[in-house]
Amino acid sequence: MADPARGRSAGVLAVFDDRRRLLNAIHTARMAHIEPVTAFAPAYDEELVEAAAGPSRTIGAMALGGAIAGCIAGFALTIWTTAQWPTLIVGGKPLLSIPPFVLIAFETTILMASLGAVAAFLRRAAVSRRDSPAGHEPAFTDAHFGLLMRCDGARIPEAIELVREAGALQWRVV
Amino acid sequence: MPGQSLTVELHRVTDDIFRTFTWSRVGWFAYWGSVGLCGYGWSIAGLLWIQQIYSGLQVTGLNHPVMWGFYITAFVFWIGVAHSGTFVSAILYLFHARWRTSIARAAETMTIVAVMTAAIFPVLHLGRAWRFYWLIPYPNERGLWVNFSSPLIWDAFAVATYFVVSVLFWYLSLVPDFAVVRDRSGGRQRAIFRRLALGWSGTAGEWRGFRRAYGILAAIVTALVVSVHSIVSWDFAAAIVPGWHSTIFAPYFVAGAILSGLAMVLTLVIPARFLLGAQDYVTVDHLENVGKLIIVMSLILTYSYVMEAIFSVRDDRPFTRSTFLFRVTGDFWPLFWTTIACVSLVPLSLFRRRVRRSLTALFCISLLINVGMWCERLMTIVTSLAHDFDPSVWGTYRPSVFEWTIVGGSISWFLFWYLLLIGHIPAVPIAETKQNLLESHRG
Repeated sequence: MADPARGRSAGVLAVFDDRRRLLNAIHTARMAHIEPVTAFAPAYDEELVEAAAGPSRTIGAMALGGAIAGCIAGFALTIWTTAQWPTLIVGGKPLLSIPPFVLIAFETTILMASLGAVAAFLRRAAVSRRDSPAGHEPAFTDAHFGLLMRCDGARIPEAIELVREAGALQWRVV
Repeated sequence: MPGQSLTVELHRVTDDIFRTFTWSRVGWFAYWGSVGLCGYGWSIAGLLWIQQIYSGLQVTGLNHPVMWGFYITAFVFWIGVAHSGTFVSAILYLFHARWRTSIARAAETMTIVAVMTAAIFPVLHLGRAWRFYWLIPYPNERGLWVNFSSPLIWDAFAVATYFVVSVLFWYLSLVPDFAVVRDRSGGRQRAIFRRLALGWSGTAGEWRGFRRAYGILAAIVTALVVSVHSIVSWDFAAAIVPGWHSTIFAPYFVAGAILSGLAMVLTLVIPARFLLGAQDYVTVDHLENVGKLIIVMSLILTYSYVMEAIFSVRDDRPFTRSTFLFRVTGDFWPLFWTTIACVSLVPLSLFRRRVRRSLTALFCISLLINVGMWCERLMTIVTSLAHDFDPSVWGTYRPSVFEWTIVGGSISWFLFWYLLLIGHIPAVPIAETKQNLLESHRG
């Protein structure tokens, strides 16, 4: 099978004006053992995402990882730096006082969790684009929907017939 | 064809919102004229700040016992304003309030600019502003690190985190919209937006990641809304000063922050929808919903005022009662009664549907609430310091021309950056508006 990531002719990109037709096309392609690489939409569409995107736990995991790292870093920073102070008791209060450190640790937890989530989002978006390098059409960010299917050269006519029957407005071999 | 009506509607959304940041000749002059005027306003304030740095804080009205005045009030006020952007965009998002979409971008942008404005004031108040970096955790020449038990350090961490996370949240929501602009523009604009869109192509995988990341950030930012203004309130509540040392301060500050922010959203959005021609997207219904939220927050604040009054008057110790009576009848009584009028009484008019749906009334009420919230912050800060435990050190406070000008300049600074940002990005979220459209078509 040709690999779209290497830029060789390896599939069909179809443009739809109706999301229902696109969903039908994805279903029909799967029945015909033609792999839909991805679908394109101008906005988040739950049904379409369920039909065409793989599961994703990376973002939640990265956010959780960032939160744990941030929490540990926050407490480590406050406790360690306070331990560097000479034994200097001000106003009878202990230097190493956990309640105020909770505030710092909370903020670093939130900060690192956010950075983790955004980093994972960027990574996922990059992976998604890598898997469909020839896929983008300006119409997809405007008002149209798209389907990118992977198949070997011999099955391209079959794939074109499939999207044509499904009601695609236009298509091209990519 | 069945899909055609949806396609036409989606295309119309792109067209309409894209038009909000392409200017007519008159609009262009009005826009850049306003930006220039605001730039002039904060430049004057900047010059006075330079003079203040040269002369020291003696040029302000700050003196013993009132060492916190206009600058700290401005800090608390602008941080408060910032909170509503997050409230509208994150909390209402988590509650699936679809109507928030049209004002979310304006509110999020307001958050970022308000934090930028607020962050200036602690530095201004330092006097020796060039030493602000002492707030950053690093050991000084005696090997001493910053004191993490100090509310000043809490503020530095909280505000910095709030700014970074708010920018991430704002930018994330903009990525698909930047891609729309990239695909519809040419030349230099296309080159800029191509970079900003980070290669977005609208694949199902990207949308899944976007939705997940946005949801997580919304939840995180919601926690920040509560934490940051609670921390700001502890700047006061952690001090053993009558009128400050109160457990009610954190929720009271958060409610006040959201109220002032909602009012600021109306102040900005009502003129902006005309300026940008976005009346079809930011409708009277949306603004009416903000009005309803204002009623709720105003009632919460009024409840806080009543509780504070009851506890102060019934307190066995004379100090809290004395401070409260000083607020009501002392040197600063106009601040107290302006607060009650603008924050507790004026918003009651929003119970009338006709008032909620009148843009002129909403705009005037929002301005009055902003004035009231400013007076409330100033009253809280100044009266407690002026009327402490010991009558022999009681004093008063009169802000100087420097403080008036610099605080006035902060409004110019806020509007300057707000106009610059909102004028160069899609002012209404394109992708989210389309998502609402898709959902309504799906039924």
